[in-house]
Amino acid sequence: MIGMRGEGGKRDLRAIDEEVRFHIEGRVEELMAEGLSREEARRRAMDAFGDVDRVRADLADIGAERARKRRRGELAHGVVRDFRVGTRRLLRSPGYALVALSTLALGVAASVAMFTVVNAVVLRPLPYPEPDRLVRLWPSTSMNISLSREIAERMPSVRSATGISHWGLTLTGEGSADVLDAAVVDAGYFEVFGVRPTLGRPFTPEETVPGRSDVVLLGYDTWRSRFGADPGVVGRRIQLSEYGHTSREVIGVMPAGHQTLDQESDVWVPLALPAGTGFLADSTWYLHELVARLAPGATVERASSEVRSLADRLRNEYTGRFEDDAVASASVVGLLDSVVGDSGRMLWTLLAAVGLVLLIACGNLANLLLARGSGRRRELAVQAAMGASRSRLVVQQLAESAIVAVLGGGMGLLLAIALLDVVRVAEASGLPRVAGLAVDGRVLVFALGITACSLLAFGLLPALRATRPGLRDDLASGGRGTGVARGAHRLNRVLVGGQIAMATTLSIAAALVLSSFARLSSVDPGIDTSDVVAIEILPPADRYSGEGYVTYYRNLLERLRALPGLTSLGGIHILPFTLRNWSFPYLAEGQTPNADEPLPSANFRMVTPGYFAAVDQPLVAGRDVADTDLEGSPRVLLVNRSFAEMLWPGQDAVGRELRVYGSLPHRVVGVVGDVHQFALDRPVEPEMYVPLAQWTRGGSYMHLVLEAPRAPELVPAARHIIEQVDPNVPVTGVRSLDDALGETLARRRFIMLVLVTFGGLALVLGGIGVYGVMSHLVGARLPDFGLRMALGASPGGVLREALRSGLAPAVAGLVAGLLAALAAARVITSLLYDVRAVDLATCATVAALLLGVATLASWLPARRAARADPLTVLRAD
Amino acid sequence: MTRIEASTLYGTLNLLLLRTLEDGALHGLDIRRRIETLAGESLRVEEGALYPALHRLERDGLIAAEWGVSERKRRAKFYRLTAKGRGRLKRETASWKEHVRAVGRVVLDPGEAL
Repeated sequence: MIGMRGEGGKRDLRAIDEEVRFHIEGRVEELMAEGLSREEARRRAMDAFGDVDRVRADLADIGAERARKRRRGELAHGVVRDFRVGTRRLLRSPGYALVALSTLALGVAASVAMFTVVNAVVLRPLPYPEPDRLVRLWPSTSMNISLSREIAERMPSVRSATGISHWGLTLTGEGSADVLDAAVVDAGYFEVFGVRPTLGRPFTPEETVPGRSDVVLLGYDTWRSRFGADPGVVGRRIQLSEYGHTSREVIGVMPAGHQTLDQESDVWVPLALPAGTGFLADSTWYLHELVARLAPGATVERASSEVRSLADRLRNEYTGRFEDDAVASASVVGLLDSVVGDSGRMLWTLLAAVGLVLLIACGNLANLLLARGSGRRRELAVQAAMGASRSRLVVQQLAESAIVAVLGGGMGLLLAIALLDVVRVAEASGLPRVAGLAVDGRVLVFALGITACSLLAFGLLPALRATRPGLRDDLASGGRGTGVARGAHRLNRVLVGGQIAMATTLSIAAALVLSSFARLSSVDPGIDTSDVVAIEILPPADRYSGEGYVTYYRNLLERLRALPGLTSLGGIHILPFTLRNWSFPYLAEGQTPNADEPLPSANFRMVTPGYFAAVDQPLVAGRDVADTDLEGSPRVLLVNRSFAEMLWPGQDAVGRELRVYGSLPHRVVGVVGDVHQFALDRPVEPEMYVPLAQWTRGGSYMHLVLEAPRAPELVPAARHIIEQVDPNVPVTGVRSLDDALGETLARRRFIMLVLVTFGGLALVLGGIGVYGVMSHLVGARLPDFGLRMALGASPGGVLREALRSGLAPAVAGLVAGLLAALAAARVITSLLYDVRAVDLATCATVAALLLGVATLASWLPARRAARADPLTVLRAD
Repeated sequence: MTRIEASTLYGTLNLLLLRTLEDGALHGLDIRRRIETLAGESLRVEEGALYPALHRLERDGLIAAEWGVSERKRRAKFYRLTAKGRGRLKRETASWKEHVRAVGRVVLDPGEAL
C-alpha cells in the first residue's frame, strides 16, 4: 500500500505540472496573438495566475486527500467482496466446509459449555448487595451462638454479623404435616445480606431471646404455596414446632428469590439464647456458619489477623473449652470463595483441558487451510502480479476463515446451549451454585472471544504463509516451487505433532481419572446398598420422648414388618453417605483422661434392632442391639471394627466399658464391620452404635431402612402405614441407599465424564488431523512415489515410506505429550484417588492407543501411495 | 464598475464552474474564457484559484477529469459534469436565485428591478 501511494503521488505531481504549464503557455500564446511581445505576454500570464508554487502545493494536497478517500472506499468495498468470494469458495468445497465447521463447532461447544459451568460456580457474583464485603468467619468447631456474637462484637473490621444454623421445623394445621427447612439467623442477618422482608419487618435484637423468639418470616414460595399469598397471614400464629417453640407468629415474608447461600430455606426464624449467656453456659446450639459484612474499607487480611489474635485471647479466657483446633482454624475467607471452595481450582483445570481440545481443533483447521493455501498459490501470484499488496491478500485469505469462525462459533454456542439442556451433567455434579447455570452476557463474550482467538490461531498462519513474498517467482515456475511446498509441509508436520502432544496429555489425564474412578467405585462401602430404601421421618420432640417414643417406634416397625416381600427392616438416625454427623466424646476402659486436653470423639448413631441386617453390615463379634435393651436396663453399645482395634488392639472388645461424654458408662456388646460413613474416598472413622430405646430424648430424624427385592415399590404402602400410626409425623425424605452412595461420587463422576469426553474428542480430532495432513502430503508426493515405483520400488516399500513420513511427527508429538503429562502431574494429582499421577501402565496404554489412531489415520492415505500407478501419475504432471 | 472577487466565495466560484461545464467538457483555459465571456469585466476570477477549485470539485465527485487533446493539439485535462454534479448545480442555482431575490427585496427600492 505504501508503494502504491508513492507511485501515485509522483504521477499526480507530474500531471499537476502539466496542467499548470498548459494553462500558462496557452495564455501566453493568446496574449501574443493579441499583439504583445513574448516577454510581456509571459509577465501578464504569470501575474494573472498568481503564486504558481502555492497553487501547485494546494493541488498536491487535494490530490492526496482524494487518493486517501478512494482507498478507504476501495477497502470497504474490497472487504465486502472478500466475504462474498469467501462464501462462494466455501460453497464450492462443501466437504472442507463441513469438516472445518464441525471441527470448530465441537471445540467451541465444549469450551463454552465448560465455561458456563465455571461462570455459574466461580465467576457469577453472589446475589447480595456489595458481595465483596461478605466474609465467612471460622473457627468452625465449638462455634455456638454466644461465641459467634462475641467474635463479631470484638472485631473492629466487622460491620455486622450473623450466625446461621439450619433446622427442620414441623408445620401442622395447614394441610398435611410437613417439615419446613428453616434458616435460623441473628437479627444482624438483614444488614449482612442487605435484604428486607417484602412484607412485614425483620427480627429485632429482642427477639433473639428465648422467651420472645416465637416469630417467623415466611419464604416467598412458602407464602404462596402454603398460605395462598395472603397478606393477612402477617400477625397470625401458626403451628410450627421445634427449636424452642410449638407455635410462632408470622411477622413477614421474605422477598422472592432470596435464599441463604446455597440453602433453599422455607422459613427464617431467630437464633435464641438467654440474655447474658456466656460461651461456657451455651454448649447446646452449634452453628453451621458465621457470616459477616466487613466495615467499609476493611480487608479480608485485616479481619483474618483480628480473628486469629481474638482466638488466642479466647483460649486463655476459656481454658480447656476453646480447643486448639478452634484456634488453628480461626480465619476469614471471602464468602464467595468459601462457597466455591476447592471446586474453583478443579473447574479451572477442566477449562484448561477443554482449551487444549479447542487448540487441537484449531490445529486441524490451520492444516486444512495450509493445504488449500498451497493449492491457491498460483491464483494469489496472479493477483500479486496485478498489484495487490500483501496485506490485501492476507485480509482476503482471512475473510474465508472469518466466515468459518463466525459460523462455527455460532454453531458451537448453540450446540453448547443444547448440550447443557440435554446432558444436565453439571446438575448432578455435586458442585455448589450450579442451580444458577445459564448462558449470560459473560458466556456470550467468552464465546465471541474464543471464536476471535481461534480465528487468529487457525487463520493467520496459513494466510501469512500463502501470501509470503516470492509469489511472482512462483508464477514464473508454475507455482510448484518445491522449496515452498517443503516449507508448508514442515509446518503441517509441526502442527500435527502439537495436536498429538495435546491429545496425549489430555488422554493421559482422562485415563488416570477414569482408572481412579474405577478404583473408587470398587471400594467396599462396608454395607450392601442394593435393594435398600430409606424413609426419613421426624417425630416431633414435644410429643415423642421417653416411653412414648419407644412405644411409637415399636408399634411402627411392627406394622411395617408386615409389608409383603420385605426381607429386613431397621432404623438408624443418620443414614450413611449423607454428610450429616453426630460425634460425641468418649472415655474408654483403660484410658486416663488428660486434664488439659478435651476427650477424643467418635461418631455416634442410634439404631433399632434389625438395622445391621437390613444393610448387611456384618456383625463381627457379640450381638446386635435387642428389643430388651431399654431405658432402665444396662446401657449397651456396639463399636465398629476399627474403633475396637484402636481402643483394644488384639483383644476382645465385647464386655468392655465405654463412657459416652466421658461420664455415661456403656457396655460394649458387639462389634460390627467398618463403613465408609461419608464417602468412599474418606477414611473409616471410629463409630459407636447405641440402641434407640435407650436414648429417648427425641427430636431427631429417623431413617426407616427397608430391604426388599423391589424396595422402592414398597414406599407408598410404607408411607400409608406411617400416616396411619400418627398423621402428625411428617415424612421428610425418601431415597435409595444406592442413590445416596452415588451422590458421594457425583463430583468425581462429573470430573471423569468431562475429562473422558474431552479426551475422546481430542483423540478423534487428533486422528482427523493426522489423516488430513497425511492425505495432503501423500497427494503432493504422488508423482514422487509414482516415479519410484516406475524405477522398481515395491508397493510395500513405498507404503512404508509414506507411513513413516506421517508417523514421525505423531511419535514426536506423543513423546512431547508424555513429557507434558509428567510436568502436569501435580495438577492432575488433585483429581485422583489411589492412583499415582505418574503411572507407567496408563502412559503405555494411552501411548499405544494414540499410536494406533495415528497409524490408522496414516495408513488409509498411505495406501493410496502404494497403489499409485506410475504412468497415470507421471502423465498427470 | 465594481469587481467581485469570485474566489472569495467558495460556493459562488463552484456554482460558476459547474454552470460553465453544463454544456460539455472543457479544459481550464476554456473555462477561464467562458467565465470571462459570460460575466464580462464585472467578475474577475483569479486564474490560479481556478485549479484548486476544480480539483476540489473533482475530489468530491461533482466533476470528472480526463486527459485529451486541445484544439491546438496539446495534451490538456478536460473536466465534465458528473450526474452528481448536475444535481448539485440544479439545487445551488435554485437556492442562489432564492437568495438573490430575498436580498433584492430588502436592498432594492420598490419598483426597481435587478
